[in-house]
Amino acid sequence: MASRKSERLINLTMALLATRRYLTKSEIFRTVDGYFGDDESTERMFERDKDDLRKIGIEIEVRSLDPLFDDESGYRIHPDSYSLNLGDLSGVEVAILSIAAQAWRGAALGGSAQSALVKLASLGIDSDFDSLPALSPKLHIDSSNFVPLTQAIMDRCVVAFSYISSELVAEERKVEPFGLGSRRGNWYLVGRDLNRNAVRTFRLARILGEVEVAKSKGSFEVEVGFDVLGFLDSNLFDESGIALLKIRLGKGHSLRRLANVISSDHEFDLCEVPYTNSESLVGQILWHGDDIIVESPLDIRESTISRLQDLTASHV
Amino acid sequence: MKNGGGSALEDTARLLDLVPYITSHQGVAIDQLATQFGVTVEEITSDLMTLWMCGLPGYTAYELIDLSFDSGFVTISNAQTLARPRTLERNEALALILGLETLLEEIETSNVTLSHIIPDLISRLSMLIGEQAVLRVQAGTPASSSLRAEITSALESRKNLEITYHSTTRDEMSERTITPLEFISRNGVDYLDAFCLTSGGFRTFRLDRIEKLRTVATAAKKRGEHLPHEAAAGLEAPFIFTLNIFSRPRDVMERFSIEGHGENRPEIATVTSHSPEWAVREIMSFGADVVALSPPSLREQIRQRAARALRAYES
Repeated sequence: MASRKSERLINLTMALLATRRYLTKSEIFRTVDGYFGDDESTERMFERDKDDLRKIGIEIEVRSLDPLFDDESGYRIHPDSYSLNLGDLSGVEVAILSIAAQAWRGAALGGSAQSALVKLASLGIDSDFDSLPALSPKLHIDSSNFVPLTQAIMDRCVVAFSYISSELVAEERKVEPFGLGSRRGNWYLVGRDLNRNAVRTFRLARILGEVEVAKSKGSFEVEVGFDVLGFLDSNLFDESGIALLKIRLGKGHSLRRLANVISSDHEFDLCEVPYTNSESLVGQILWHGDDIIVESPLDIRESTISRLQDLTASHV
Repeated sequence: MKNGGGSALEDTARLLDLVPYITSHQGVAIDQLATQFGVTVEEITSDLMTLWMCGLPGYTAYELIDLSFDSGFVTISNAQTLARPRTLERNEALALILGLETLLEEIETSNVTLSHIIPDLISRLSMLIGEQAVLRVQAGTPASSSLRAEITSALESRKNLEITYHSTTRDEMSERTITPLEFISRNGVDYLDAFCLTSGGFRTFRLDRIEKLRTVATAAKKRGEHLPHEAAAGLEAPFIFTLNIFSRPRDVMERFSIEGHGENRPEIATVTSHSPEWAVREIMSFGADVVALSPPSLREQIRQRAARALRAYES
């Protein structure tokens, strides 16, 4: 339930928003309701209140009022920094924003999406869904580490967590988090692994338990223009080649989506299929058994054949 | 719903946001406010009592916020200072930006209006948290949105759907008529639970494998209306097999949903699946990094299938 403290914070916000000139502390203590007690305790109260308002996104401007003596500071909240300004929004734009917010139903930032919607609704613009196609996007982020990681990325705080290695051992990692991005249904954290002093990629689902976020902010720099999806594409899916595959008629649908058919006979289509990772392409080819035959490149053809020989030998 | 309210700070944020909301929705019902703000009616009532005590220095009737809410409907006046909504906090802007990015991935590029408006909204929101920050957290997800919307409307109007479905177990396309029942989500993948009229049983379909979809006019039955024998006919007996994991243990365990790591990491694991054919294909895709131990019929199928593929390379 709302308390005396909330009441004081609201009175302070209103007074600092309504004033056209900077108010001194003594003016604030004299006129704003809620500041009681001796000088020292009102002073402390005010400092805490300023921090608290900053935590909910309200910036109090401070200015020295006397250029010769900087002990007398003035305070105000600028209405432009306080209030929501996204330029003129049309009814269609408000409708799109609310569809975007619905993508979070039940997912990590669901609460933030809802409170953003309430603020948008408070602009008093009627949303216009009529001209929009039926859309229902969905974000799959159920990792409890998503929100702390985004905060750590934006505040540039080092994070520590326990990570499942490819050999299934839980390893302690300490990372400067650069970014979070999603590719092919998985979310990845990209950052500098401090023990290895190299930029690495971590799959969110492979982080065990809770991420620990260090307190100190701004403790590292990220290259200007760092683009997490660009990084993921050039590191996780870094090869780019075209394989020539024979795909049996009526089969291989998942590879056909990307394929370009060159020629056909009564049994197979000869297709060009782009790929980004040869190991995963070999896996996909093996999955299809004799419905897909590799023509080229040679290394993929040979690796497929040797894997098939291993399979027959190990399942005798 | 929160119990007993959040911190004083959360309360303050909500109180500040209540003023512009009521200002733009004069006469709003108290219970609607509670729903919008995700708190109980009691909490909203207490919020309103608090706001009523707040105002500008002087704190006489001329400076205090004026509220009326005794009949269950709320109006506000004398609250000009707080009448504009607060700017979005970082998480709020980020939530909208990620939602918009997802939407952008899912609309057809032929929709000129949307493919213009959405990037424009993203760039306006980016100004609130900084372009650099936006590049550092990005969503890029596969499409299923317009499909989802059409299924939702079929669910609501209780209509059947005709779908073209890619069954990856058999690598086949099939045409089916289904009664959609509900969406489910597992490990980040969307599924539709449905009654399949074509095969006469309950089936689960991955949304990203539905290639085409069409709503049909015939009315659907409700969930309980399918006869028990219809349901039973659709259930395949589970197929249980044992694996020996030699290499790439993390990939193997993720693919076969096997639990355990560190000292609990199993070298031999038992997996329950819905079909032997799926097991054969998935095991083969690991190319002997994982070997089937039992049942013998599974080992036999893998060997034969691999041998058949090898013959294609000999000719």
